[in-house]
Amino acid sequence: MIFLQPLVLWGLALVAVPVVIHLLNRMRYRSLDWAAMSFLLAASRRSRRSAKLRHWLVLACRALAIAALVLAMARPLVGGWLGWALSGAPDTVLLLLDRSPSMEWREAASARSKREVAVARLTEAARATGGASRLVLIESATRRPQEISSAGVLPELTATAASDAAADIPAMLDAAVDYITANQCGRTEVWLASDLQASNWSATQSRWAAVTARLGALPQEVRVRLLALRDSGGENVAVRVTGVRRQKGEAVVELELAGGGAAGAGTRPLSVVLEGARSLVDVAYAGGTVRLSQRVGLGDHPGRGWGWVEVPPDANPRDNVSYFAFGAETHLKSVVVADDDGAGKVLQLAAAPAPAQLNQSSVRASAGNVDLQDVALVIWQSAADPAKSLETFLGEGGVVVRFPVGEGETGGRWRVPTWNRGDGVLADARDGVELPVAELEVKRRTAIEGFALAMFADGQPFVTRQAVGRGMVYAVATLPVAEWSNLGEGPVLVPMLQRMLLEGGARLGQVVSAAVGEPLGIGGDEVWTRLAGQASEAGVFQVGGRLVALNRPVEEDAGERLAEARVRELFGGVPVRFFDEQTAATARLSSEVWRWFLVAMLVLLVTEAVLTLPSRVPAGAATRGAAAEGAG
Amino acid sequence: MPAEVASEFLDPHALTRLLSLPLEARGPMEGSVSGRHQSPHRGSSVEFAEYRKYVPGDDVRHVDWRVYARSDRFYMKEFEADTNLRCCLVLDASGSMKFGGAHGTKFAYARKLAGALAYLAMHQGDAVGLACCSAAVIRDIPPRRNAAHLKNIFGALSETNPGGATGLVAALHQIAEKVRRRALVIVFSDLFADPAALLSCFQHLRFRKHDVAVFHLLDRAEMDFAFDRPTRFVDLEDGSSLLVEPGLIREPYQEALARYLERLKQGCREYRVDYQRVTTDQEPERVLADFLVARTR
Repeated sequence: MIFLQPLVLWGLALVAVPVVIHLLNRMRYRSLDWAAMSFLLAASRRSRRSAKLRHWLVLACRALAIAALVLAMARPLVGGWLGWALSGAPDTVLLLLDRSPSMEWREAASARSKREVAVARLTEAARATGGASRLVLIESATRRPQEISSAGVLPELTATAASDAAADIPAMLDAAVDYITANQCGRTEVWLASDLQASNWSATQSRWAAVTARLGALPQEVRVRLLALRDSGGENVAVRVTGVRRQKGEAVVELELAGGGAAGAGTRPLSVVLEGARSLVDVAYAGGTVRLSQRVGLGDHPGRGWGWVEVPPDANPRDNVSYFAFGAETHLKSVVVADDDGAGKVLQLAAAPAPAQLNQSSVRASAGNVDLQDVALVIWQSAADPAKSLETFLGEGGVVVRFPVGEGETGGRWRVPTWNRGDGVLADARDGVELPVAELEVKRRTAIEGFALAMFADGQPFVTRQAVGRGMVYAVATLPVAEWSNLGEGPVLVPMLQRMLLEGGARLGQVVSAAVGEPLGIGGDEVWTRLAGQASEAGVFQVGGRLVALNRPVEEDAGERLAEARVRELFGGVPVRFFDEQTAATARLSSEVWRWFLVAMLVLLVTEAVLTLPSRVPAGAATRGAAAEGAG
Repeated sequence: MPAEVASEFLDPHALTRLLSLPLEARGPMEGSVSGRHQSPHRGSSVEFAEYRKYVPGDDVRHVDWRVYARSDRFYMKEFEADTNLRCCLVLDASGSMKFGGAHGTKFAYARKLAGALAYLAMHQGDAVGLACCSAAVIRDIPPRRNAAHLKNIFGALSETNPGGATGLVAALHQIAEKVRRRALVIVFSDLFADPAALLSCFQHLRFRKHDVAVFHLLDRAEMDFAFDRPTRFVDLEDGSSLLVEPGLIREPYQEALARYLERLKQGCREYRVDYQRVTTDQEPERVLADFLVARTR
């Protein structure tokens, strides 16, 4: 037996109270002259056994009643056959609902999305508890626990509607553990509905160890029931805008079609909508992931713009639209702060490879005198700390890239075999050509911190990024000079810096492109005006003076799903079963049995009352009646 | 009659009210003077008793001449004789009679009853005696019917203090043997003695043709035993003590007491003893009035 409130067990010391009161009463006797001693002696002789037994029983009842009350308050849990015998429905059911865009995949037969199926199954299962369990919903978009009055309202809640935010299953479980701990739930079951999308489950991350450790450390045994929504076929192509830029009076929309199989190969109609004007183009799609550029004429429109691209309806309608916004034509200016003159020149050249981009420029500056007016990117190769002078710049969304200073680590020739080709500044080009990162050879390097975008063969990071405010700080482990590496040759350095420059330029254009759920650094009191998109989180918004394009997170388009075995492996020692699994009766969870202790307390108190009551007639009634009779 | 002396034991107004009720004997009494009680002998009252044949030596004044005229035979006409009552008050002065609560001790209560009855009996011309007994008879005043005698009785009642063991059984046997003429014996006691021995005393008294009345005095606390705290009970007669939890023995105590009371009551009914159970919270005037009224029936 375990207790949810073990500290209350100290109250068991109160069991001694009736005994102490009894002893004190014994000590505080009084003396009385008495005449009818013969009856007293006779009564004392006669009652010695039965009365003493009854007396001890009364004392035991009182002490045990206090013990039962204390134990009930300590919220005991009983497992095994006893727990099974005493348990009914779980005390609390936490409904964890993945309502990410990938859950909108519709089943061909029923035309219902996985989310709708999940909600229906959860509702049905919750109804089976007969209303005996407290139902708490934790959905993937907000992860805020929400107590619901009955299972029937589940399909009606906005919290179970479709969402464009990605699901973070470990974070949802964390929220569930927080709720269980804060509310000291008794016997609890976690019902998790998900399509097992690998990106949502963060299957490769070590967070699972922490989550399962927390689940396992709970005083009550918590079981997880998993409702896995499998893909049920159907053709689906997801569209995503990966970037938009102005170029010679045109908006170049870079987009990606992904997810379709070879069976769906062929020509597909693609709608590009720019400020309400729709243009329809047919694009060739051969299955897999295809990157495209669509040019849309802007005419003499010099300002900002927004729009979206759309593919025809398919199995998942949630990934058929992608929104974009672009800023006014701006001059992308970079500032190079470099202690090493050679490296500074190379970096300045890579940041503004004139005359290809006429609207770019790069200037040199000293660490103590940096003019950040209209600057998109700061390239920092200086021993001075950039954090203070660039704090405002980063907070407003600027981008800084740091290069090493000093001697660095030597003694090897390091290669960079691993880098993120799907996203970030080292991602493949839109035509699918990868950057020649693998051809880099580094002779001198320094240790850098942050989220690694590229790593050396020995696991040390080559390029990292770190979000600071609304801005981003990149770090590169080597210098683009011959003594350090061949990075200065350009095929990697130039596109990398250009992408950083574009990222920083978005700040100047007052345009924000982000994923739903990603922190934007926009004040909560600002008014959001929807410019495009249906009633969902994704769309184009005007917030203050900015345009904000929100889309579903990139990882929602990933098609990889976890196998059941992998899911069990992630949960480790936490008992997990799938909804369709049958379980043995003996595998029931620990049950909270405080009610039984309260019942025991009541029974003990009633017994005590019965034992202390006179067994026949009230005291003195017999003799009083006899007295009246005798007098008469 | 010194009513002011009697007021020491009972309210004078109550005594005055009680004077209207006679103290009657349940059977014929053998008094020395004419009184209000039936005598076993024939006398000269107006109450016709019977006819009997004339035998030589009879007083010819009692020959019924009318019967002689009708039947030519001599018959003697006899009448009931009325005589006075000899009332023996027996007061238990053992230690147990010292017990009492807010209403006073049982002995004080007994003294009130005995004093009032002595006064009433003396007032109607009966002879009154008193015996106080504890382990033995400590005072013994034989029945007399003069006014000065009442003062002796009141004096004895005032001077007697309860204490010692109960010797009521021996005292009653002694009185049964000592009082030769028929008398009304009134016992005031808590009767805390062996019931069989007590009933044997009453039987003895009845065998000697005495009219026996018993005032069984009890305190309300002895009846209810309504104590809630552990208490050390100290015997008023021999000083022994017993520490008990009243709640534990209340029930058997009351059962034992009820059995004892029932046995006494049954025995008294069997031996035709006038048994009055009295608790000290009852009004003495009421108790006496009930007693006197019951005896007139």
